[in-house]
Amino acid sequence: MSKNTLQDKLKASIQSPAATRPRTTRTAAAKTASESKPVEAVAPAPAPAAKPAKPAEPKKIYLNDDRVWPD
Amino acid sequence: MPSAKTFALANLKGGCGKSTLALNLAAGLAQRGSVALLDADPQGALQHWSQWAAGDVSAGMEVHAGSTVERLDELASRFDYVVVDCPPSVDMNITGRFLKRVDQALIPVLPSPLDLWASSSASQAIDKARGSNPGLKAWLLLNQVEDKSALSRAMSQVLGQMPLPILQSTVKRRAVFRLAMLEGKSVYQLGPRARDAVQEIESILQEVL
Repeated sequence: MSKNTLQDKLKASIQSPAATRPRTTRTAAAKTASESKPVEAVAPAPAPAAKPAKPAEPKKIYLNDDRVWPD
Repeated sequence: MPSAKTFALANLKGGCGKSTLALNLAAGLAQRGSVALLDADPQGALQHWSQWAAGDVSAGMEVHAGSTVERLDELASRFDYVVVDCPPSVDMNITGRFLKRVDQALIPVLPSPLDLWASSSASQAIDKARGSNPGLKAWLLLNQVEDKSALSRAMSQVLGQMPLPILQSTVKRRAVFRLAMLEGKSVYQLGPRARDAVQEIESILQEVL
Protein backbone atom coordinates (compact mmCIF):
# COMPACT_ATOMS: atom_id res chain seq x y z
CA MET A 1 0.00 0.00 0.00
CA SER A 2 1.52 3.33 -0.97
CA LYS A 3 2.23 6.15 1.44
CA ASN A 4 -0.17 8.44 -0.37
CA THR A 5 -2.98 5.97 -0.03
CA LEU A 6 -2.44 5.73 3.71
CA GLN A 7 -2.34 9.49 4.06
CA ASP A 8 -5.46 9.88 1.97
CA LYS A 9 -7.31 7.33 4.04
CA LEU A 10 -6.25 8.96 7.29
CA LYS A 11 -7.32 12.39 6.04
CA ALA A 12 -10.62 11.09 4.78
CA SER A 13 -11.26 9.30 8.06
CA ILE A 14 -11.00 12.59 9.96
CA GLN A 15 -13.17 14.62 7.64
CA SER A 16 -16.12 12.35 7.04
CA PRO A 17 -15.92 8.80 8.29
CA ALA A 18 -19.53 8.02 7.35
CA ALA A 19 -19.15 9.28 3.80
CA THR A 20 -15.93 7.45 3.06
CA ARG A 21 -16.68 4.19 4.82
CA PRO A 22 -20.02 2.97 3.45
CA ARG A 23 -21.93 0.55 5.55
CA THR A 24 -22.20 -2.75 3.82
CA THR A 25 -23.87 -4.87 6.43
CA ARG A 26 -27.08 -2.91 6.97
CA THR A 27 -29.53 -1.48 4.47
CA ALA A 28 -30.80 2.08 4.86
CA ALA A 29 -34.30 0.76 5.62
CA ALA A 30 -33.03 -1.60 8.28
CA LYS A 31 -30.97 1.17 9.84
CA THR A 32 -33.96 3.55 9.97
CA ALA A 33 -36.23 0.91 11.41
CA SER A 34 -33.80 -0.14 14.09
CA GLU A 35 -32.84 3.39 15.08
CA SER A 36 -36.44 4.62 15.32
CA LYS A 37 -37.53 1.70 17.42
CA PRO A 38 -37.95 2.70 21.05
CA VAL A 39 -35.79 0.87 23.47
CA GLU A 40 -37.88 -1.13 25.90
CA ALA A 41 -36.80 -2.54 29.16
CA VAL A 42 -36.51 -6.24 28.89
CA ALA A 43 -37.63 -8.22 31.91
CA PRO A 44 -35.27 -10.95 32.84
CA ALA A 45 -36.37 -14.31 31.57
CA PRO A 46 -38.02 -16.46 34.25
CA ALA A 47 -35.92 -19.20 35.58
CA PRO A 48 -36.75 -22.44 33.82
CA ALA A 49 -39.08 -24.71 35.79
CA ALA A 50 -37.57 -27.75 37.29
CA LYS A 51 -37.63 -30.55 34.83
CA PRO A 52 -40.20 -33.23 35.87
CA ALA A 53 -38.74 -36.49 36.73
CA LYS A 54 -38.75 -38.82 33.77
CA PRO A 55 -41.36 -41.58 34.29
CA ALA A 56 -40.05 -45.02 34.46
CA GLU A 57 -39.90 -46.55 31.05
CA PRO A 58 -42.52 -49.28 30.60
CA LYS A 59 -41.22 -52.70 30.32
CA LYS A 60 -40.71 -53.61 26.73
CA ILE A 61 -42.36 -56.70 25.42
CA TYR A 62 -41.02 -58.59 22.51
CA LEU A 63 -43.51 -61.11 21.27
CA ASN A 64 -41.09 -62.73 18.91
CA ASP A 65 -38.20 -62.54 21.19
CA ASP A 66 -37.23 -64.57 24.14
CA ARG A 67 -35.77 -61.68 26.13
CA VAL A 68 -39.00 -60.63 27.88
CA TRP A 69 -42.33 -62.39 27.86
CA PRO A 70 -45.64 -60.91 29.00
CA ASP A 71 -46.71 -62.06 32.41
CA MET B 1 1.78 34.20 42.66
CA PRO B 2 2.78 31.02 40.82
CA SER B 3 6.09 31.45 39.05
CA ALA B 4 6.80 27.95 37.80
CA LYS B 5 6.55 26.88 34.21
CA THR B 6 3.61 24.51 34.08
CA PHE B 7 2.96 21.70 31.64
CA ALA B 8 -0.03 19.40 31.19
CA LEU B 9 0.14 16.03 29.49
CA ALA B 10 -3.39 15.74 28.21
CA ASN B 11 -5.43 13.72 25.80
CA LEU B 12 -9.06 12.74 25.69
CA LYS B 13 -7.99 9.22 24.89
CA GLY B 14 -6.37 6.88 27.35
CA GLY B 15 -3.38 4.68 26.67
CA CYS B 16 -1.41 7.18 24.62
CA GLY B 17 1.57 7.38 26.96
CA LYS B 18 0.70 10.45 29.02
CA SER B 19 2.02 9.10 32.31
CA THR B 20 5.25 7.69 30.87
CA LEU B 21 5.99 10.94 29.08
CA ALA B 22 5.02 13.05 32.11
CA LEU B 23 7.41 11.09 34.28
CA ASN B 24 10.33 11.27 31.89
CA LEU B 25 9.78 14.91 30.95
CA ALA B 26 9.69 15.72 34.66
CA ALA B 27 12.94 13.81 35.10
CA GLY B 28 14.44 15.85 32.27
CA LEU B 29 13.25 19.09 33.82
CA ALA B 30 14.79 17.96 37.11
CA GLN B 31 18.17 18.39 35.38
CA ARG B 32 17.28 22.08 35.09
CA GLY B 33 15.54 22.91 38.35
CA SER B 34 13.08 21.67 40.96
CA VAL B 35 10.09 19.76 39.60
CA ALA B 36 6.72 18.68 40.97
CA LEU B 37 5.00 15.91 39.08
CA LEU B 38 1.28 16.22 39.80
CA ASP B 39 -0.60 12.97 39.30
CA ALA B 40 -4.17 14.03 38.49
CA ASP B 41 -5.13 10.70 37.01
CA PRO B 42 -7.44 8.73 39.33
CA GLN B 43 -5.60 5.58 38.27
CA GLY B 44 -2.67 6.94 40.28
CA ALA B 45 -0.03 5.23 38.15
CA LEU B 46 2.65 7.80 38.95
CA GLN B 47 1.97 7.66 42.67
CA HIS B 48 2.33 3.90 42.43
CA TRP B 49 5.58 4.40 40.54
CA SER B 50 6.96 6.80 43.15
CA GLN B 51 6.14 4.37 45.95
CA TRP B 52 7.81 1.61 43.95
CA ALA B 53 10.79 3.85 43.29
CA ALA B 54 11.02 4.66 47.02
CA GLY B 55 14.08 6.90 47.42
CA ASP B 56 15.18 6.42 43.84
CA VAL B 57 13.17 9.29 42.30
CA SER B 58 15.37 11.81 40.52
CA ALA B 59 16.93 14.44 42.75
CA GLY B 60 14.93 17.65 42.66
CA MET B 61 11.72 15.89 41.66
CA GLU B 62 8.69 15.16 43.82
CA VAL B 63 5.51 13.28 42.93
CA HIS B 64 2.25 14.65 44.31
CA ALA B 65 -1.38 13.63 44.01
CA GLY B 66 -4.16 16.06 43.30
CA SER B 67 -6.76 17.04 40.76
CA THR B 68 -7.43 20.70 41.53
CA VAL B 69 -5.94 23.88 40.14
CA GLU B 70 -5.43 25.04 43.72
CA ARG B 71 -3.03 22.14 44.18
CA LEU B 72 -1.30 23.12 40.94
CA ASP B 73 -0.98 26.72 42.12
CA GLU B 74 0.41 25.63 45.46
CA LEU B 75 3.07 23.48 43.79
CA ALA B 76 3.82 26.19 41.24
CA SER B 77 4.68 28.54 44.07
CA ARG B 78 7.32 26.15 45.43
CA PHE B 79 8.90 24.55 42.36
CA ASP B 80 10.54 25.72 39.16
CA TYR B 81 8.46 23.39 37.00
CA VAL B 82 5.18 21.53 37.45
CA VAL B 83 4.17 18.69 35.15
CA VAL B 84 0.54 17.53 35.36
CA ASP B 85 -0.43 14.04 34.27
CA CYS B 86 -4.08 14.63 33.35
CA PRO B 87 -6.75 11.95 33.49
CA PRO B 88 -8.22 10.49 30.31
CA SER B 89 -11.51 11.53 28.78
CA VAL B 90 -13.81 10.26 31.51
CA ASP B 91 -12.57 13.15 33.62
CA MET B 92 -12.56 15.82 30.96
CA ASN B 93 -13.72 18.41 33.50
CA ILE B 94 -10.51 17.96 35.42
CA THR B 95 -8.40 18.14 32.27
CA GLY B 96 -10.33 21.21 31.13
CA ARG B 97 -9.61 23.03 34.38
CA PHE B 98 -5.89 22.31 34.11
CA LEU B 99 -5.80 23.41 30.49
CA LYS B 100 -7.23 26.75 31.60
CA ARG B 101 -4.34 27.17 34.01
CA VAL B 102 -1.11 25.70 32.60
CA ASP B 103 1.40 27.40 30.33
CA GLN B 104 1.77 24.53 27.90
CA ALA B 105 -0.12 21.41 26.91
CA LEU B 106 1.46 18.40 25.27
CA ILE B 107 -0.96 16.00 23.64
CA PRO B 108 0.59 12.59 22.99
CA VAL B 109 -0.80 10.86 19.92
CA LEU B 110 -0.08 7.28 18.92
CA PRO B 111 0.36 6.45 15.23
CA SER B 112 -3.13 5.03 15.05
CA PRO B 113 -6.40 6.21 13.46
CA LEU B 114 -8.09 6.10 16.87
CA ASP B 115 -5.62 8.64 18.20
CA LEU B 116 -5.89 10.74 15.08
CA TRP B 117 -9.64 11.00 15.52
CA ALA B 118 -9.27 11.79 19.23
CA SER B 119 -6.81 14.56 18.42
CA SER B 120 -9.63 16.48 16.73
CA SER B 121 -11.46 16.56 20.06
CA ALA B 122 -8.26 17.59 21.80
CA SER B 123 -7.98 20.52 19.44
CA GLN B 124 -11.49 21.62 20.41
CA ALA B 125 -10.64 21.30 24.10
CA ILE B 126 -7.59 23.51 23.60
CA ASP B 127 -9.66 26.12 21.78
CA LYS B 128 -12.16 26.13 24.63
CA ALA B 129 -9.42 26.48 27.25
CA ARG B 130 -7.91 29.40 25.37
CA GLY B 131 -11.12 31.30 26.02
CA SER B 132 -9.87 31.89 29.56
CA ASN B 133 -6.18 31.03 29.03
CA PRO B 134 -5.26 32.84 25.81
CA GLY B 135 -1.55 32.26 26.32
CA LEU B 136 -1.88 28.48 26.36
CA LYS B 137 0.62 26.84 24.03
CA ALA B 138 -0.31 23.38 22.83
CA TRP B 139 1.37 20.76 20.70
CA LEU B 140 0.65 17.32 19.43
CA LEU B 141 3.43 14.86 20.15
CA LEU B 142 3.72 11.70 18.10
CA ASN B 143 4.48 8.95 20.58
CA GLN B 144 5.48 5.30 20.26
CA VAL B 145 6.49 5.70 16.64
CA GLU B 146 7.46 2.42 15.04
CA ASP B 147 10.52 2.23 12.86
CA LYS B 148 9.88 1.35 9.23
CA SER B 149 6.14 1.73 9.67
CA ALA B 150 4.38 3.35 6.73
CA LEU B 151 1.45 4.18 8.99
CA SER B 152 3.69 6.03 11.46
CA ARG B 153 5.10 8.11 8.61
CA ALA B 154 1.66 8.81 7.21
CA MET B 155 0.38 9.78 10.64
CA SER B 156 3.22 12.26 11.01
CA GLN B 157 2.31 13.85 7.70
CA VAL B 158 -1.40 14.04 8.44
CA LEU B 159 -0.92 15.35 11.98
CA GLY B 160 1.15 18.13 10.46
CA GLN B 161 -2.00 19.38 8.81
CA MET B 162 -4.10 19.42 11.98
CA PRO B 163 -5.13 22.72 13.62
CA LEU B 164 -2.72 22.13 16.51
CA PRO B 165 1.00 22.28 15.74
CA ILE B 166 3.00 19.08 16.04
CA LEU B 167 6.39 18.92 17.67
CA GLN B 168 9.26 18.03 15.37
CA SER B 169 10.51 15.69 18.07
CA THR B 170 8.93 12.29 18.23
CA VAL B 171 9.24 9.42 20.65
CA LYS B 172 9.87 5.93 19.38
CA ARG B 173 8.31 2.83 20.80
CA ARG B 174 11.06 1.60 23.10
CA ALA B 175 11.04 -1.12 25.71
CA VAL B 176 13.42 0.96 27.81
CA PHE B 177 10.59 3.33 28.76
CA ARG B 178 8.63 0.44 30.25
CA LEU B 179 11.75 -1.06 31.76
CA ALA B 180 12.49 2.20 33.55
CA MET B 181 9.01 2.13 35.08
CA LEU B 182 9.55 -1.41 36.27
CA GLU B 183 12.84 -0.46 37.88
CA GLY B 184 11.26 2.52 39.63
CA LYS B 185 13.34 4.94 37.60
CA SER B 186 13.18 7.38 34.72
CA VAL B 187 15.12 6.79 31.53
CA TYR B 188 17.67 9.34 32.79
CA GLN B 189 18.70 6.87 35.47
CA LEU B 190 19.22 3.87 33.19
CA GLY B 191 22.59 4.87 31.81
CA PRO B 192 23.84 4.05 28.29
CA ARG B 193 21.04 1.60 27.49
CA ALA B 194 18.55 4.51 27.57
CA ARG B 195 20.73 7.01 25.72
CA ASP B 196 18.45 7.27 22.69
CA ALA B 197 15.33 7.60 24.85
CA VAL B 198 16.95 10.40 26.85
CA GLN B 199 17.87 12.18 23.62
CA GLU B 200 14.23 12.06 22.54
CA ILE B 201 13.03 13.55 25.84
CA GLU B 202 15.74 16.20 25.68
CA SER B 203 14.72 17.07 22.14
CA ILE B 204 11.13 17.63 23.29
CA LEU B 205 12.25 19.84 26.17
CA GLN B 206 14.45 21.91 23.87
CA GLU B 207 11.43 22.57 21.66
CA VAL B 208 9.04 23.57 24.43
CA LEU B 209 11.35 25.49 26.80
